[in-house]
This record gives sequence, C-alpha cells and structure tokens, in this order.
Amino acid sequence: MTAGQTTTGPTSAGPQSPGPRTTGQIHDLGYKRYVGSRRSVGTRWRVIMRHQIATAWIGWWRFKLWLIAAALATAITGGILYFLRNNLLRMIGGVQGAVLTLADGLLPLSTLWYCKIGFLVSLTISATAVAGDVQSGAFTFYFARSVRPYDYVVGKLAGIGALLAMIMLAGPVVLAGVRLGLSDDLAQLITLLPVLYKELAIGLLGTLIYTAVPLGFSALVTNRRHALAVWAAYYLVIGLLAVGLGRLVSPAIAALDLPSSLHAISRHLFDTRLTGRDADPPTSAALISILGHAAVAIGLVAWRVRNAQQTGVGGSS
Amino acid sequence: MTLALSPSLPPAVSPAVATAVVVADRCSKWYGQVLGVSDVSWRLSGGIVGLLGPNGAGKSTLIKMMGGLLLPSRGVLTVHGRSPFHDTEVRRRIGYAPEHEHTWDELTALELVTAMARLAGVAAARAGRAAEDALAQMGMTAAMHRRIRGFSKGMRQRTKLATAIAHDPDFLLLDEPLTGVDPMARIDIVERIKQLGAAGKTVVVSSHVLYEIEALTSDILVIYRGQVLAEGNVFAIRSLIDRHPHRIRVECDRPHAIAAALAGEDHVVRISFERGAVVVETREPDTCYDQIAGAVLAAGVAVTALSSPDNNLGAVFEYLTGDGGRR
Amino acid sequence: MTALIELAELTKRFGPITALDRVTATVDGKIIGLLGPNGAGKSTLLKCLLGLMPYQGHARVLGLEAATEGAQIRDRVGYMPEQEAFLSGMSAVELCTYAGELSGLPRTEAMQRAHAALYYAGVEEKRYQAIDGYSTGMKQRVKLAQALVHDPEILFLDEPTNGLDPPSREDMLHLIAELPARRGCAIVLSTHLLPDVDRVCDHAVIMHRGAVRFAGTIDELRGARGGNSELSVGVKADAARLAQALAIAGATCRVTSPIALEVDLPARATTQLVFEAARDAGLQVREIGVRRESMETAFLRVIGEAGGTRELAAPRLTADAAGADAAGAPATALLRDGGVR
Repeated sequence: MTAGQTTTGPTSAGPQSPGPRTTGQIHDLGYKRYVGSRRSVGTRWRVIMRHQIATAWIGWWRFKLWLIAAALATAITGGILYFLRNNLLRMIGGVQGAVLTLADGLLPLSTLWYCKIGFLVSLTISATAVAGDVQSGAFTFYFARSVRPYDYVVGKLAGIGALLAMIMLAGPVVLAGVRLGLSDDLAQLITLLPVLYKELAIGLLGTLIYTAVPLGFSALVTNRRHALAVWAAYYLVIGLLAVGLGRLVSPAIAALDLPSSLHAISRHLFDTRLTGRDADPPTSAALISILGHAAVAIGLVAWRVRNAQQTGVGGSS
Repeated sequence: MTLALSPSLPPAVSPAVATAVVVADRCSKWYGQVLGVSDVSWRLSGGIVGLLGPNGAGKSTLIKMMGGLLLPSRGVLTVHGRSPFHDTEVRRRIGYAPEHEHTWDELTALELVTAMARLAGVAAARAGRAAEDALAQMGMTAAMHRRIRGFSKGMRQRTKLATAIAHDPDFLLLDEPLTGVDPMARIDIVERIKQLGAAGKTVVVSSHVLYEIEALTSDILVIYRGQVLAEGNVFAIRSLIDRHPHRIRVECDRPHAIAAALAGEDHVVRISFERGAVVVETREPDTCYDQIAGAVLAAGVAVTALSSPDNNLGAVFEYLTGDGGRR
Repeated sequence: MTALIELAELTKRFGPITALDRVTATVDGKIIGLLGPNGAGKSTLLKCLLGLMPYQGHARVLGLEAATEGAQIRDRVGYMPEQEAFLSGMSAVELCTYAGELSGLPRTEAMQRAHAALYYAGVEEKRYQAIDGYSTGMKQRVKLAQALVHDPEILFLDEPTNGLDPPSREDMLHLIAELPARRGCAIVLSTHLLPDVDRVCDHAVIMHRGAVRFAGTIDELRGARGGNSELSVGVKADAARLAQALAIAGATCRVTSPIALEVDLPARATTQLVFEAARDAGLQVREIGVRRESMETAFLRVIGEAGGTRELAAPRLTADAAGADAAGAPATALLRDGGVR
C-alpha cells in the first residue's frame, strides 16, 4: 500500500516574498501497513489483566464502593487500635490462656469483616467473569487471536487478584503497620515485626479465596446470574451447614466454610482463640480447604477455557 | 394480482375480496412509542408472496398479526374473514414458522412436530401420523427419530417447516425459512415450498436474501417504515418506477462508439462508462435496444455482453427504498 | 512466492470420524469463496489453519506451519465469526482497541487503527456507544472492524451478511470487495449464498465430506468452456424465428423459452452475426452473454449430487457417511488445481 503522498500545486515563479500562499497540497490519507514489531505472546496476559481492572473500575457498585468501605473499615479499626489499645479483649491468647489487649487481639479479629467485604466484591466481579465471557461469545474473540488459554487464565486471575488484593491484602497490611507504629520502643518494634508477615500471609490467602473460588464457579456455570447464585449459595448455605456440622460432628467439616478457615489460620498465626468460637476448624484442615478450593477452581477455569478454545472459533458448519 | 404503489385502498371492491385470504384495512400497531406498522391496507388473494423490507420496517409485526400473535392497535386484520387473534378455528388454518430457533433440543424431530400438531388442534390419535407425513414432505424421514440437538441448520429449518404444515393449514407464514441453510438444502427447500404453493396453499415468505424470493415467486409486498410501499408483480412494479429509468449495459470493445450514437437521443437520461462497458439509462427501453443494435451494426462494434442490470428484485428494492428518506 | 494457504495430506480425525481426509490443495487469490454443505469440514479446516487444534499432515498459512506457529498466524490473520463475539459493556472503539492490543500492537497504535477500522466499516457516529445497543447491521460492521484492526494479511469471513437487510447486505459486500485494494489483504469468504460468491470472489474452494473437491478460479468453476462462441441470447419476442435465421447463417441454436435461446456460433463468427440475423428477421435483441453454468449447477456438479428432491444425509458425525465416501473419492483425483502455482 502506498505511504502518504502529497500532491503539490504549481509553484509561483519569481522571487519568494512573504505574502498569501499560492500553492496548495492534498495529503493522501491512504492506508499505511503496520510495519512495527508485535509484542510477544507472553505479554498478552498483561493486556487481559489491565482490561479486567479497567472494566471493574467503571461505575461505583462494581468495585469502588467496596474499596471505600474497606478503607473505612481499615480506618476505623486503626482508630480503635490507636485509642483503645490497652483495653482488654475477651480473647484467650496463647497456651496459658492469658487475656489479650485490644492491640494484640484486634488484628486477627479483623479478618472477619474483611471477609465480608471480599465476598461482596467476589459477587460483583469474580463470580461473573468467566460466565459472562462464555455468554457473550468473548472466547471466540480471544482465541481467534494470539491468546493462549494460559494467558487468559493468568490474566483473569491477576486482574481480579489485583483488585481483591486492594481490599484483602492492603487493609490487613495497613493495620499491621498501625500496630507496629504503636510499639513503645524499637526493641518492641523488632519483636513485633512478625505481625507484618502474618498479616501478609492472611491477606494473600484471603485474596486467593475470593479471587479463585468464585472464578471456578463462574467457569462451571455458563450463565452469569446462575453462576452468581450458585457461588452465593455455596458460600452462604454450605458455609452455614459446615459450621453447624462442625459443632455437632467434627470441627474439620467446618473447614468447608471458607471464612471460618481463614479465621482459623489467622488465629493460629496469632496464637489466639476467641471465646465462643470453639467450632473453628483445625489449622491443617483450614489450609487444605483453602488451597484445595483454589486448586479445583483454577482447574475448572482451565478446563472451561481449553474447551472454549477448540469449539469457540469456526462456527457450526 | 393488484398493482398499487401507495398505501391507500385499491379502487374497486371486486368479488376477489370475498375470497381473499388476508384482508388488512387501515391496520396499525404501536408498541408504546415504537412503531410497528402504520395504516396498512392490503389484500392477499393467494399464491406465494414474498415479503420484503428493511430491518425494523414492520415485516415481523405484520406476520405476527397475520398469525394471530398480535392484535392491531387500530384498524382490522382478518384471515378468511375472521380475526386470527381471537378466533381459534381460523388459527388452525394458519401455519407459522418463526424466525427464531428456540426449541426443545432434547426432543426428537418427530416428538416435537407431534406435540406442536396437537397444540394446533390435531386429534391425539392422528397427530403422530400427521407429524410423520409433514416430516416426510420436508425430506426428514431418515432423521425424524434423532434428537434436535444434533441437527444442522438445514435440518432445523426443515423441522420448523414441518411443524408449520403438520396440521394441514391452508395459509403459511414463513419468516426467513432459509437462513444458514447450505446450497444443496436451499434448492431442495425452495422446491418444497413451491410444491406447497402449487398444492393450493397460500404462502407468505419473508426474507432478506432477495434471490431466494426471486426463486420462489414474482409476487411481492414491500414494507417500508411501517407502511405498504409496493405490492404485486415485480416486473410490473419495475416498469412503474419511472423515476429510475431503465438501465442497459453494453460490454464491448468500443463503448464510446455506442455512446456517441445514443448521446443525441431524447430518451437517453444518462450515459456512464465502466471499464470495457457503457451503461445507458433510458426512458424508452424499446427504442433504445433498437438503436443500440443499429449502432453495433453500423460501427462494427464487437459486443461481449448485453444486459439490463436492474430488471430484478434487488434493483427494484433498492429503487423503492434506497432514496434515504426523501418521500 | 508463498501461496496464501498450502495444505498437504491434511488429516483430522475425531475418534472414528474423519473430518478432513488427506486434503491437499493450494489456495491463492484475492477473494476466495469457501463453499460446501454443512458437515463438509469447513469449520474444522479453519480451526486447523488457525492452529487451534492438532492435525496430521501439513497446513501452511502465509508460509507458517499452523501446528507450531499458530500464534504467529493468528497475529497476521483476521477472523470475523458468524456468531456474536463481543464483550458486553464495551463500546466499539474500546473493543477494537482491545482487539488490537491482544494481537500484539502497542496501545496507541491499536487505538489509532481501531478508529481507522471503524471508519472503514462505516461505524462512525456510534462508535463510542456500548455495542449492546447496536442494530444487527452495525454489529456485523463492528465484527468486520475488529478483524481488521491488526492489519491482517488474510481475513477469514464467516457468513458476513447474516441477518442483514438488503441495503446492508449490499454495503457489506461492497466493503468486502474493496478490501484487497484498500487494505492489501486477501479474503477467504465462507458462505452458503452462491450468488454472493459469484459477485465478489475471484477464486473458490469447494469442500465436501472432508475433501476439497475444487480449488480454482470462478471462471474455471463455471466454465466458459467454449470460449466466446457459446452464447445465451434473449429477445423481446419470437425466439424461434431468430433461431431459424441464425441456423441459416451456420449457427447451432436451441430455443429455451419464447424469449430466450442458446446459440453456438460458427467458427470465426462474432456477436455481430446475432445482431444481423435479428435485424434481418425484424426482431429485437435484449440480452447477449457468454453461456456459463449457473453457480448452483456448477456447485452441485462438483459436489457430485444429482440435484432434485433428495433427503439430506445426516450431518458429519456419523461414521459410515464420512468414512465410506471420503475413502472412495480421494481429494487429489477430483482436484483441479492441486499444487500448481
């Protein structure tokens, strides 16, 4: 194809003096082929991740509202930590059963409300992600291009994970920072440093739960609304049943309730036990439950996507 | 066949009215503010009629009113003299094959057609046989015991058609019956629809693919912006559109020689050139053909092809609707 | 110069069913029609060419082997699907930009080309609005635009005029016809509408039961076998008398209707003969053209069916239908243009 050409009119004879122009030009707006380089295939997941984040950022109810809620929760918890740090909490801490101050006990407790916000975000973003793509025919769009199933899965996980991390990871880490800031001197600060990585671990596990598991449901059920409903039902109903059965039969069953599992791990890391919550599952069961859920979910997504790559393109005849 | 180019009533009330299959009299349909059809008056006496129109012009609305699925907001639309919306008896004489394809995939073709036949009023004892006959008529005997889930597009269309004829109606409404059908099946289904018309049924076929309509019939009804724009024999309509003169295309080695011979004639409206051809627009095609022949012989022009590109349905449709709103 | 698509012993089996049977063909041209009944293997072929499924044999697109270099092929090839393929909630511009980025273009480049592609496809005014609200015609145009964004060298179009009303169909066919000149890409048009192929394509590939039965130019398909001496002639009236007059002049005629006849000119005669005979007989010639098979007849001939009313066999997923015929009529025997370029 021709590159841009210009057609110039007749030039005026005689000395060039400044004055009104006597020549003209028509630029050829013709098509120019793309001769630059193409980004390597390995970078596709980043495009998908950015797209996922950008889509979630539109409007208020998808993500921004919950981010604000999480920020408020963090601020309030931080405030309580600061002002009431020396109040006693009815929490049994450590092996000897000593009662804890709020400063030490509020952090593991905070997982409870971060989980609630995380669940809401999982409803608006994670649970519909793959199902929405299946319904609107997006897989044909993706796989007719140089996008591999791997890129799609990683991109979606990274995008949704980044969003959830802003709530499930950033909040607890900020609280850990506040806790560290409350220490009386440098020595205490150094002994308290583990709090940071404990909150980091809890935050990462929380992010994993609300990113991967609803995504798995989204891949399993190919209708957006149904996927949402099934995820909510599983989380709430099965969760309730699991906790009930955990009280009656064996605490390990309660591990099926994901927030209970996360809370169990958080308690274990901080070596605390909230009075009245004896039905929390044992730590090993909790960890297996979380990682197991995530693995199965990611497996489901990979299966659905691989399936779609083969059938999505090419039509029916 | 009546000829009319305006939405008003045809002048005379002839005996044909009494036996007309469909009579629409100043019929309008509004969905709130959305216009379906507006002030449509039309009579269909029989045969196969092609229903044409741009998207959103009101074709589906008209078909649904004829099928008894919608009631006109104003005016009257009757089939065999009765309102299809209210009268179940006359609805039994109507067969409707809609455009969409939502169906129960887990049924076999025979089960589906039998069920639909019973819904249409065929007695339970006879429904099975009627369904088999209908499917056989549509060429589905081999596949009738298979589940619809595995059907190709062509087979689904045939099943849909079988559903429409199973209860032996005498009036058929077919909305896009050939979408997605491969060329072999297309020829076959067109043949079968023609057979239905030859058997005395009245068939209204709506389609966007104009050569399908051309293959079926030359009797058309054009809906545009909710109104009847034209109806009747397509070639007669063509000759009525004098706003667009007749186009004649001469492919030859010396197009300018032909052009020179014709340029001085009054009936010639426009002469334009393509690569290796000249296209003449004339108000008097008869005279023009003679003059072209004369020019060819006089100047010894070697003609490769001579044709009239606009004596077909596509051109008629474009002339009728393509003016972009200056009406 | 590498051909667009080269197939060599391409075979694809799904269990007992052979979807593609040792297909060998070279496909080249500007606008190529891909035809064939349902179940002929067209969509399987497309998936193999895009590198989306493994196969035996060779399938090369633009010189790249599809099985190993599929991603590269997909960067250089555009696909306009038959079904809906959008992401909900996006505008046309966003979708096309995303499409460009997913094909490896940097972001600004993708944005510029997205706009250019949408202009070409005729979606100017509404391109910032969400696609969910578009009419069928505009959705088809956006589908075309998103296939064009990354400057492909080949464009695969799957039933591009689906659901379009006559004026929009005209527009779409016009856009397609102009693409090779305006964008420098070749087009493979998969459709069931033979007149569209006749109008727009210069080459055709016809598939049936997993084999390529024809690959060549449209002229070769429809045959102008007798050169310019086999004509079909239309007159205003009285074809029989013209036939008599022409017979006296040495031509062979066959009257097909009161106003039409088929004429075989004698050696070294031109169409002048027809005009002379008409003038002498006082008749008016209204149509002259070289006699060619209609697309439908040619298609049916290639497929090998006799035509007429015939129950269609079950679709491809029955072992006996695919196996027996595919083995009995190997692709190479009926191929018109195998490997000669």
